[in-house]
Amino acid sequence: MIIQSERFGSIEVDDKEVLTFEHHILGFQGINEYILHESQEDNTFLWLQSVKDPSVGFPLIETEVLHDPYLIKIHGSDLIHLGTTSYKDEAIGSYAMVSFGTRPKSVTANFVSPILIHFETRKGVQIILDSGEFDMEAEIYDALCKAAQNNFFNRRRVSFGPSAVQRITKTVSTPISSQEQRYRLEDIDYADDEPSIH
Amino acid sequence: MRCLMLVLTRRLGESIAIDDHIKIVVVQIKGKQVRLGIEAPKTSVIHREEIYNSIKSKNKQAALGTLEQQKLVSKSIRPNIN
Repeated sequence: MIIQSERFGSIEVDDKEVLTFEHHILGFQGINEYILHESQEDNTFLWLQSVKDPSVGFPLIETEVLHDPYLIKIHGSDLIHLGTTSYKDEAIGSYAMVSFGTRPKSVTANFVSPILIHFETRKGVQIILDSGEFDMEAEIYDALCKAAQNNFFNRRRVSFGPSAVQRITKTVSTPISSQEQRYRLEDIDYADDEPSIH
Repeated sequence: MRCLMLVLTRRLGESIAIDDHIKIVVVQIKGKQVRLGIEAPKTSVIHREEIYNSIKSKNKQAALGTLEQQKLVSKSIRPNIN
């Protein structure tokens, strides 16, 4: 299929590469299908590009590159949105949305609501981590420099099709991160999510 | 989709049913604070509205990103890139 995008022009992708966000990305209701696109000229960031709206695209970066370790709690409902009931580290990619500023150094990433993508079910979800331990506007310039020194961007996987899972495993084990386990699956007891104030 | 607001009065311990599968219970009332318990299917996404709104505006900000801005960052962190 051919996807039209304002930033990249026409992109030809296999139908199997389409990612479905059953629960839309907040603020972008009605846009549920995306592809993960890496520009050949400049591959620092990946772009989550809407299949049907040429203007909608988000710059993303792998969370493990910037935030080490990134231990997050994935709720049961998020797993359902990813089309699975069991948690499999190697099949789930975790990405932070990037916001650019006026200067290169003012680039920030949102670690409060990362994008999770399950590369086998081809489903994605933007989860919300409102525990207060993560930053929505984390400065990432220094971490990007470090990633560049480690040659991360040229070693990243280049295919995001269903066969990309093996390559993700490689990305996950880059020496930038010393932690093996990035996510923890814990069911949250919703009734006790906030202590009472007496 | 425009929604109208339905206003209901409830006492402590009473609840509101939404469709067949969502139940909201008044768990505690203390001064200006109300604690609500929400029973909903696992697929429901429930959060405080403030966090929803801040994520929404952050998403919109990210979506304004251009390739020129990406290039500026790339050139700065990777001097060897064209």
